[in-house]
Amino acid sequence: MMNSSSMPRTLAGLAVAWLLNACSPATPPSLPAHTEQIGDGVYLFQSGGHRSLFLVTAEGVIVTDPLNAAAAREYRAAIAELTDQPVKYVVYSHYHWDRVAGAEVFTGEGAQVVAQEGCVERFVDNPNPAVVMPVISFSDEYQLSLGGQSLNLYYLGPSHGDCLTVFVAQPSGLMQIVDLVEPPRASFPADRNVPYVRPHNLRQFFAAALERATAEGITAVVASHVRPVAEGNNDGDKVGPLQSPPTAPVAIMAEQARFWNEIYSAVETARNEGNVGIDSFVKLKTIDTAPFEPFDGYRKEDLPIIMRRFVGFYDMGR
Amino acid sequence: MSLIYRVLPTALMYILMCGLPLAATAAEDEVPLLMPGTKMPFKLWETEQVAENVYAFRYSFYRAIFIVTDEGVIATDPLSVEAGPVMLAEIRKITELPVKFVAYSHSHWDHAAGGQVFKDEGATFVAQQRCAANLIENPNPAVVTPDITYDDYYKIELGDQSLEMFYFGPSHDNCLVVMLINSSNQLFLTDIANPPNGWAMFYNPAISEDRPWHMVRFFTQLQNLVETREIETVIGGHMSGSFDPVTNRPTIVKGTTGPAAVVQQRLEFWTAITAAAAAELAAGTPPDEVPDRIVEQGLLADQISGYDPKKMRILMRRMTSLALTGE
Repeated sequence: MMNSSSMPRTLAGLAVAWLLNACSPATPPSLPAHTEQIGDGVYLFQSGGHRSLFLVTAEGVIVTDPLNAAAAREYRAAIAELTDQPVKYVVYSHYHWDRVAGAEVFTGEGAQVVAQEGCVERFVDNPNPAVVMPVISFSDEYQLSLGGQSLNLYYLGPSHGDCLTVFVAQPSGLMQIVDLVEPPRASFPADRNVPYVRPHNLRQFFAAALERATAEGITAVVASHVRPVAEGNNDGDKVGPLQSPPTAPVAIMAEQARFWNEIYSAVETARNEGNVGIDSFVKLKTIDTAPFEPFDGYRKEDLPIIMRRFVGFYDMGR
Repeated sequence: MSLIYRVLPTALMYILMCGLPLAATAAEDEVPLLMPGTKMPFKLWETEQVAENVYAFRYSFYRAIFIVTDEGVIATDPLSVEAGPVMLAEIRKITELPVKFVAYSHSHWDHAAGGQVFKDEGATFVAQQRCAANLIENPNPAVVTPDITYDDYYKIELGDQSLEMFYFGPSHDNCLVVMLINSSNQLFLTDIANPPNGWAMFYNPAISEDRPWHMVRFFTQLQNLVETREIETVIGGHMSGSFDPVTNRPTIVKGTTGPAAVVQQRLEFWTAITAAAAAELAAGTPPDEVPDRIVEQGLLADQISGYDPKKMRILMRRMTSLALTGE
């Protein structure tokens, strides 16, 4: 198991790590293009700003989000450089097409597609020929085990969309929450209109994920995207130079939960104090911005836009 | 959610501050104004007869309907804890018969709350099954839990009247139904289209509560219902908002009912905004540039009532996400 504090935080760092490890006979001399190793047999494939988790074992490979047809072909090629083992499973994190199209390259060799049942329902309701239908679905929990490794799947209720599944790779102790928790640190949402968040369950989701992280002995949280990270972030720590690291300490989850809790809290305060305008926006000048300033991507003017979604939640319950 | 129903809190706040009577038994001239201090002539609430034995009850910017039969009353959304007792009092002015059924249009609290007064006199509450699930998942003590649930279709029959409910899949909320009053053949729509204009820009172009991935299919089915049942009239679930053609500022449109053409118009609207972002992406425009490109072209600017470039950018960002993610 890799200690989070020792994890390389950039691709350059990874390259150095691989050079240092090059004398180990169990380690390949170099990683395939677009591939990062984040644990023993645990990797990330990178394409078009996305990262996708996969597990290589002596009994086969477990792949997560195939992203799209072109990326999936590169994904398959990258795996082939690491192992001759077949891909046995493809697991979808949620139903958004930008993550889950293109699995044919894996199912063509016999892999089975796995997804939470709410995702399957959505694929039926809103089909996309580029998305391979799952053949295995589950309600709350599912475990895929191969060659001494496992990918544990947890559905903790609506969060980002209605079927987002939390991934836990064991025994590496790594957790991935696609699209909701992104290293290096807790941040503002990429889309300030937050069309996908489900405010009626987001707090409960994070509470359950934190509980699960403790129960599973999680040591690091895995990225699902590559995003630019400016030098000199809010705490002055240089994370850059160009892209976000593949993992972050597990504390990022509590921090991201705190971000959303601050949003709920600010909206409750605004409603109680009559600071919500007739247009449903919280009046910007009444917002105490201090709790939000430490978060990555902070932009004061985004706060009323994000909060508008939560004003709707308090009015309507959804 | 209507264009301007957000004025509600202001109106209520004024009433609370000024101590105006909210008594359900207020005589007509005692009903407070909806927007005191403005030239808007609307009362806080009113009841209008829209067909024989069919009534529209408006409270603030929200509207419900009730049908009086010879065996009791079929009511719809009680609207709020403030509106529910007023609605019951308004019904009592027309009939002494009890409210036997309350049918929810969807699960949003701003339409579904306030039904306890009807429950107290024994009404049976009816909702689409996902609405019931929503209310269990995220309960609100002000919202009465449904007694009867259904999937695609339900018909309440009471005395000489009936009310049909059709679920055409996710639209606004994941359980919204449209209601057809059989005796008058009038369609009651909440939050998805409001007469008179089906090409109105969204008040909130982020359309957070909508399910844009199913809207075209939803309205296709709804238009099919309009055609097969030869429906001519729609009752809107809100006092209609529109835009002053001179100032382009939001304004209220008087009129509880309107032509059913609003359904076809909304179908065309959803089809057009969905296609706009998809076409721009198909032309190779990077996703981040799609909203600006569409606004620069002035696409749909002449067709959308209340067009605003800022809102159009937000809407097109949403529709770009839809094209890329399926949601």
